[in-house]
Amino acid sequence: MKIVDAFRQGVSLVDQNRKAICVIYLVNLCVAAIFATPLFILFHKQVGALTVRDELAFKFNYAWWSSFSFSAKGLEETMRPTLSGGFAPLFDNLELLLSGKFASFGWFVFALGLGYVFLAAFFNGGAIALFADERKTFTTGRFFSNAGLYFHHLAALATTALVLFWLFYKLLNPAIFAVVDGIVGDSLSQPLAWFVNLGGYLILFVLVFLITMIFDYAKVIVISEKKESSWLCIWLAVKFIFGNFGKTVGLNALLLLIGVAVVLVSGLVLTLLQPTQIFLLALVFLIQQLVILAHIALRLTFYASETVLYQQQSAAAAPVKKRKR
Amino acid sequence: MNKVIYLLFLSLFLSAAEHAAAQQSPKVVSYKIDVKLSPEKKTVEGVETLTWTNAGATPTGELFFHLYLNAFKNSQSTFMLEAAQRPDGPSFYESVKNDGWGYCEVVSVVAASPGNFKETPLTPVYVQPDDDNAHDQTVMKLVLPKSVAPGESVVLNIEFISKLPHKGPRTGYHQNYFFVAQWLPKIGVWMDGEWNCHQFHANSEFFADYGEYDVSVTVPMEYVVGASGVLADSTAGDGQKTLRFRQDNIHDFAWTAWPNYKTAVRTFEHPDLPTVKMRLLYMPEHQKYVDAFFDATANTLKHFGLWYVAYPYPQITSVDAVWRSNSCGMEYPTLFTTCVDWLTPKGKQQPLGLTIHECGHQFFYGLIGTNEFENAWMDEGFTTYATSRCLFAAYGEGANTKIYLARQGFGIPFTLKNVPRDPRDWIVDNHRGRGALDFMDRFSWDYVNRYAYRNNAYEKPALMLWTLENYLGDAVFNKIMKTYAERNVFKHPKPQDFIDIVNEFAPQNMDWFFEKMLHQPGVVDVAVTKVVSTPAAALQGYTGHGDEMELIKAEEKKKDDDEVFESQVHVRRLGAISLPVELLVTFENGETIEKQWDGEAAYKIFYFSGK
Ligand SMILES: [Zn+2]
Repeated sequence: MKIVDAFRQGVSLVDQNRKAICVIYLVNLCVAAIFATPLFILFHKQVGALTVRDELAFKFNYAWWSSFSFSAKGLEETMRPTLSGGFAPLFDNLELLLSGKFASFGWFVFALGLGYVFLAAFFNGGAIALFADERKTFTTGRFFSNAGLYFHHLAALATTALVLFWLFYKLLNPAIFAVVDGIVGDSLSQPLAWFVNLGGYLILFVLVFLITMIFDYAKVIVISEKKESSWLCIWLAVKFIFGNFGKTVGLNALLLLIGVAVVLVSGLVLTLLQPTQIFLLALVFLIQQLVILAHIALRLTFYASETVLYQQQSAAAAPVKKRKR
Repeated sequence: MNKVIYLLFLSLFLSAAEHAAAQQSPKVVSYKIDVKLSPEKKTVEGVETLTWTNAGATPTGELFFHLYLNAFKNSQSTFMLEAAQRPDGPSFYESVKNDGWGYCEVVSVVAASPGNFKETPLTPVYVQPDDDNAHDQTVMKLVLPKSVAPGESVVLNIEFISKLPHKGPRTGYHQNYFFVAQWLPKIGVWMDGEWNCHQFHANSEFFADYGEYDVSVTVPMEYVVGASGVLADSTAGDGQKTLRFRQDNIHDFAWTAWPNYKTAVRTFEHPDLPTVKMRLLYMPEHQKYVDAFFDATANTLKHFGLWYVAYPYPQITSVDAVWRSNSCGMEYPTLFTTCVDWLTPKGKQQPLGLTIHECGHQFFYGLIGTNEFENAWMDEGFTTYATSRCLFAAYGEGANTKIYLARQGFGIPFTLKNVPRDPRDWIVDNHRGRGALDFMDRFSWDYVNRYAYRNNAYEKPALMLWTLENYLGDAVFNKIMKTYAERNVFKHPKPQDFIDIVNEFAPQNMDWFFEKMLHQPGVVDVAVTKVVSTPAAALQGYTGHGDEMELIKAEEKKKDDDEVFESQVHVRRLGAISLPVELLVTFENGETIEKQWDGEAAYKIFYFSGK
């Protein structure tokens, strides 16, 4: 099977299950609202009577933020200048991914992030089950019942991935940079050191890419094959990925590129769009919602294409076994 | 009478700049030094001939010298013991461990005083005036055969070997790069009947008398050299070259040598200021920042020159210190070090801010020779304040750049276009968290920790001057700063000298302000904690008396356009330091009211009533 075909079929699978995007988006919105409300009340209390209020609606005020962030706690810690839009959030996420400093916004936010990982595990189960199912039609009932059915597997996989990433940041990251420093630690030339460091980060990035891919396929396999052990599926995923290395990596690289393109385009639009009036502010909000929708759709396309690729490749590799079933 | 007219003419034709240029420092010291750099041994070896004149009011039979490099002699020096407590302490140990230690070894000393005593060999004794740490050898005492009276001189011939520390703070070597600072046996300051010659501390800079430096350095032919002063002479032979640098009216001398430096020269010119030759030594990979380095230097010479006092020397040398050498960001008379990150994005005020700061020290340190050991805020604080002023005047708001994935040598700079920053933001940011740690008027090493030193040397005094500028107004404050600078060129002013000038020009005595600022830890922080605005309650109950007594009931309250609102603004003092503040209240109808508050109480409610 060609990479492009897997991608195309993945897209059409997501298209058939458009409602899943809406359901996930709505739940996301509700969760966000639960946390945004106290944050809004707090901001209102902080700046509601100050002249800086009107300015803040359109523009980030550094001096105000500096004072605010000094005693910020919990959710308030998420308020930072990079939220002002454009490409900055992209860099924020890239940095978090490669450095593993997830607790840098405080433990409350960290715990919130952990909670979100399991919420995502719940949705992923529902979505992958839809894609793996031959009927391939969306009903909210089936979506949620599948999500519940596979939750224990996907939660176990998410926990394993968290432990693996923790080890990755705790051991592998320092080990790689120990080697980098060994090479350029005493260099007089910053450009040389810069490129060697970049190499270190690229290795980390490739490893993150691979680990994420392994866990993606583990999720696909545990649901497609209705396996009892999710850990066994990690091994099966490794076998599958390395058995079809060009295709699996190619497909995920293609999806990643599309993701980067989406982020770049939206980043560019948001950079160029400097809200000066309330309707522009509303437009920015709308674009941001579209970006979130695109993000959900893309994540689902990952799973759908991976499911297609997995099912087609394993059917081609073991036609006898498949017929028996 | 004629003479008076002549003087009048003279002062009309002589610009302020020429006044400063014509000014001479009292020549307390005259150093003639001849040294050779051995790149393999990491040493600078040679002879120093020092003529020291007693400029004090009392005679002395002893001479005190700084041997700063002995701070890096071993782990028990006062500097290294204190450095261990610093956040960057471990990196010091890391860089000097094994054979990276440094020292200044005095091989021999011979002293003579014309008309007083003949050439006499002297034996150095290490003393520890600050802390009695017997392991510390950063101060040397010489006992003279006879006292030197005020006005008399003593000539010392000192043979010495200085081994530079590996990537030492401010001074040292990094592979074949050498930054040679605090490298010579340097006499202390004889003032108020005692030697002001402190040991070298981890949180401290320096103090010395003005005079003449005539320094010849011999280096391998391929080395490019930059130094304080002006190149007076150069000779070559045997694969070596000797360069002679000279300068009057300075209180320290530093130099650097590295084969890979590139150099550039430009001229600073301004109609109201003397012309200065600007020489830049830079890393080849920083070619694209050459314009920025020169531009920042020229802007400093211009703005500081116009605001405070003209730069009187013929040359200024800026050194783009080698990456990770630890010598970046330091000031020496007529020479300073700056540096830049290879990946600095356009619009980011680097290397501008750092270059202006270090070049700015030519004024608050170089020309106005305050005691950095005892009053760190008088050079660092004044320079920090003036730097942000100059940065703003020359370049406006700065770009807000975040460096992603930052680690030694790496980082992806990204400019947050929507969030411009005032060049003074970092001062407020740092002060907010550190302001309560300690108070300002202390010796550098007495502060509770490194952050307290930084805060009280840089941030708090800069904010103090900024506050004073706002409080007194531009015109008065500019006059104060200019007068302070002009009166103290080539002098050693103390805090009271500045306070006296403030009081001379301020419309009121400002001692109360300095008492709070210099002697109280804490920050100035006032918050608007609550704003309420409600329709005024209508009058109820009985009014009048006797026959005219009338009962007004609640429901009779009228609703009309003339409704009166009662508003409250609650203000709370959050910081320990109280200063007067202005409160600007804007009402919904656009009306504004300005109120003054002395800021003394912890809490204050302002009441307003209107339609
Ligand atoms: Zn400084």
